[in-house]
Amino acid sequence: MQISNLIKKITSNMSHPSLFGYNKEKFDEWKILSGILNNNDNMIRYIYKSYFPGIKSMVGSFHNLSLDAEDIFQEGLTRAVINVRDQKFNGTSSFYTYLTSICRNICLKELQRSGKKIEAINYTIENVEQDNYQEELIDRMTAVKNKMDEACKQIIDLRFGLRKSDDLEIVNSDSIENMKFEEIARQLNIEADNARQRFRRCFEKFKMALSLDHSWKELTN
Amino acid sequence: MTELSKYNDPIESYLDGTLSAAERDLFDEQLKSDPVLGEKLSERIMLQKSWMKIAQHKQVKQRISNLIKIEERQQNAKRTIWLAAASIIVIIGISSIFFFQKNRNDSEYLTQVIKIKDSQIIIQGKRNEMQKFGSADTIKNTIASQNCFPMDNAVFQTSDTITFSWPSNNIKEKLIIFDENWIKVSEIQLPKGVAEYKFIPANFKTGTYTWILTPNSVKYKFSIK
Repeated sequence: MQISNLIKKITSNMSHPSLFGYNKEKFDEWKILSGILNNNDNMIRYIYKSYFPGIKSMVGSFHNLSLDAEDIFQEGLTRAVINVRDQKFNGTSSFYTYLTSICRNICLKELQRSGKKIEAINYTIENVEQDNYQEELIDRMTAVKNKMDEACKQIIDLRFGLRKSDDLEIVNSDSIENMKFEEIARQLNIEADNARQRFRRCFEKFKMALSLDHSWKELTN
Repeated sequence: MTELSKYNDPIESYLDGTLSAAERDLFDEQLKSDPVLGEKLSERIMLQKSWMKIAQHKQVKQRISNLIKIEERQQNAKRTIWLAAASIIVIIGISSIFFFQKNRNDSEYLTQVIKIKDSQIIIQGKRNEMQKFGSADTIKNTIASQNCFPMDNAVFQTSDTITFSWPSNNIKEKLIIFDENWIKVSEIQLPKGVAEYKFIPANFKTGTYTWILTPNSVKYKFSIK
């Protein structure tokens, strides 16, 4: 391997090639988006380093927020990353603007949720995330799922092909895969029929909890 | 068969892909004829996708959270390095101030010594002048007092080591120390040719003492506290 290639390889694995981390490197939009699509860890760190101060100050302009700036940034960046991967980000604005809009929406929703007044008149929830409705549904489902007991969550996860291994392979929510009850039974050291019944019972419990959720009903009716 | 298992079991088997060709055909037929089955299947798939979306969201968020923690740690480490570097610079800065101050004191001292030497010349000149006029008194040689240590009225503790020193060209035989009542508390025979003597006043009580070097030395005072 040539020395220049070796240096390139080393520096590409380093987030901060400079001695004290003073890194003037700036990525253009294309590099940011391709970094997100390629699960580049350094790009996420770059986004945090470059964009968090601005978003923190934006979050600071909202008063009475129960979440702190870092929680909002993490949630916003998570949504932005998933949307970029799902090709829901159309690229009409910069990624920073997009991320800021998502974070602003999270703040506004949080204020709405807590019933606090939004002081500024021109704050309206923008439809930046194309699937706002979908996001709302997912939010509600997450709330319902979090209330379930661990055993139920475990068997549903197993049935839906999650928890197969501890590796960090990104879950693809577009393709559905079901683990056979025999395999689940083997993993849990129970009978296949037992696994089938347990899954059915837990999944029904989940559906029931959803149907009883006030916000879910509002969204789906 | 309950309502629940009527739909759930075939749907789960269908999604497993474990139905035989005949069972699969039958299921497809039922899908066409029974709208509830179609609805249940769509709901089952939608909920699975949403469940997986939640898992995906959780996984991505966890990864982002970890990376942010790493970045924060690195930023803190960098801050520490900068802080350490700044501290070193400040320490060097303060030390250099002291260093230059000390050099200034030294040069001031040297200037003083030069002045003393100059004054000695003047005094010597005056002495000669006085001798010339035949009425000269003894003139105190100020250089002796400047070059003897410890300085007059110096303060020590019993644990201190007192270094008595005098100009090397003045040969001294004895170091004698008196207490406040002029009682001799110590008389030390000095080795020949030495220009200093170290002494620990361990047995001395607190108070003021006077020390002299014989022969022909002025008296100096020091205190033990």
